[in-house]
Amino acid sequence: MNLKDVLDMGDYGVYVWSCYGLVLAVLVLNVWLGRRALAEQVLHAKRRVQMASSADSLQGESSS
Amino acid sequence: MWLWFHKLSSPPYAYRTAGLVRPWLFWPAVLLMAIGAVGGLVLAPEDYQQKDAFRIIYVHVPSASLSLMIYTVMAVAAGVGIIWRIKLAHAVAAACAPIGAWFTVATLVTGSIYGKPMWGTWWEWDPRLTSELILLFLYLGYMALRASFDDTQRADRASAILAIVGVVNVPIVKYSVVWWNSLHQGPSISKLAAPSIEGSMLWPLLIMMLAFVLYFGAVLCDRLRGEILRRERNASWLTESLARS
Amino acid sequence: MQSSVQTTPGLSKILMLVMARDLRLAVRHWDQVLQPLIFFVIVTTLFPLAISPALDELRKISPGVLWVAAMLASLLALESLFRPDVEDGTMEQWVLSGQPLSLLLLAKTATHWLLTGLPLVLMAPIVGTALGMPQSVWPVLAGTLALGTGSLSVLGAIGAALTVSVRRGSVLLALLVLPLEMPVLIFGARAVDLAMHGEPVAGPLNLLAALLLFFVSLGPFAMAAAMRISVES
Repeated sequence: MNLKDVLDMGDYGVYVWSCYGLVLAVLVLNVWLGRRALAEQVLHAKRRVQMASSADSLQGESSS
Repeated sequence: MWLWFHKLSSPPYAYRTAGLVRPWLFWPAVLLMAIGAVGGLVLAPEDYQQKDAFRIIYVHVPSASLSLMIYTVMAVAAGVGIIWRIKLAHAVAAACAPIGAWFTVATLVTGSIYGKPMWGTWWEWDPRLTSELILLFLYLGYMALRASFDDTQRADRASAILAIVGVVNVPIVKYSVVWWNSLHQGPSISKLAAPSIEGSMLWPLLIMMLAFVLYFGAVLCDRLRGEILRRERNASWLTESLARS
Repeated sequence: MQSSVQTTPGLSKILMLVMARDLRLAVRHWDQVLQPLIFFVIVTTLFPLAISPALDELRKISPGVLWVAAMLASLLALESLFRPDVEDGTMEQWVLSGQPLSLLLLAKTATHWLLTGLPLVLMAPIVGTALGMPQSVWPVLAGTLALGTGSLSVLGAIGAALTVSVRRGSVLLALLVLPLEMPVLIFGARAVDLAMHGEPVAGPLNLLAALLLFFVSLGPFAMAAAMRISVES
């Protein structure tokens, strides 16, 4: 079996490859969406932590 | 066992565990998908009736079974969350919904593309595709209900009830759609799953299904960690673990 | 059953009171009871206008048209099921009353069915005749609608209890409830269709009855749980 046969899929190539491409796109998209959601929350959390710590240090300065 | 379960349901522990487990799910999934794709596209012999078009089932069937499995996981997590009042279970349910909806879409579109050479039309009111479409509506309703509450706890509990009602309904929907379809046409038309399948055709399918399940686990880990961070915004463990990283 | 000194009325008395109250309210606001029925008639009128005035063509689709219209009308009627009671605080009293909330809500849903489902059942044969449906189908049509709208009321009540505290919840309610109602539509419309072709309808009728029993026995628990979430703030 050579490469051309695999690509043609006996005239069904368009259907087969579009399905595989589409599912691959969904797979990649979901990984990306998941990672992005996580990264976003990590960013938010870090910002909150930073704000909290800077507020703490400000308080510390004013009290000393 | 019970102790472990209890420990796992604590947000910081679950957050760390999900992060550790994720690569062990993700990379095997990628590897198995590659093997399954080669097996399905190249090694498996062509079907005597459907020729090469049947190779679509190696992505269509795993997507379909995953879409149903995720709905079940979601409903079970929602049930656990509402019965034992475990917040983490609600986070799991929330993380499941968008993934499941995407795989339902993938199932519908690949089924439709599969239908074109098989039936000659892009859409046939086949019982499997029709119940998959209804499943998509159930996912969309679940996400819409969740989005309509500002308060996370109320969103969790309200959507949990919907998920449980939905999962009780899924077999009824399935049965009614099969019954509805059987009145109109013989069962021969639904060829989406071959009844008896040869070993050389079967193993890539099983590998693909396993790969999809592992993949779901990996994506769920990411989404779950995001959900945990969103829900635990003011917890002290968060400060410590972020300071360390 | 040991009944101590009864300072509060028994449960059956309470349920009767709930139903009587809703019926009295409905008599006072009878125009609101009429609205879903008018909606039902208008929707069925749209089909001859949109498709064809030929009765032969309409007859073929009449079971489906009647059933879809009935489904939408019952959906529309859900808006008035719990919302007034939640808004004026009555529902909160019920939740706190210590009486089984699931039974109270079931009684309320049953009353609601009497006011919105039953009129549809009675109206459908008349509208069906206008769509070319033979008179011999009337009993089956009314029977499927009687069983089916009961299921629709219970499923709708769960959705209404979930969305009652959501602002502009009516579109959301349709999105949640319609997919769950699809089996009822399938069995109901198909039974009428079979009857029109002179085929036996016992199968789908039994299925509709089974669905109704199933939903009535389990639905109230989901309603009560949903209502507790919606009412507590």
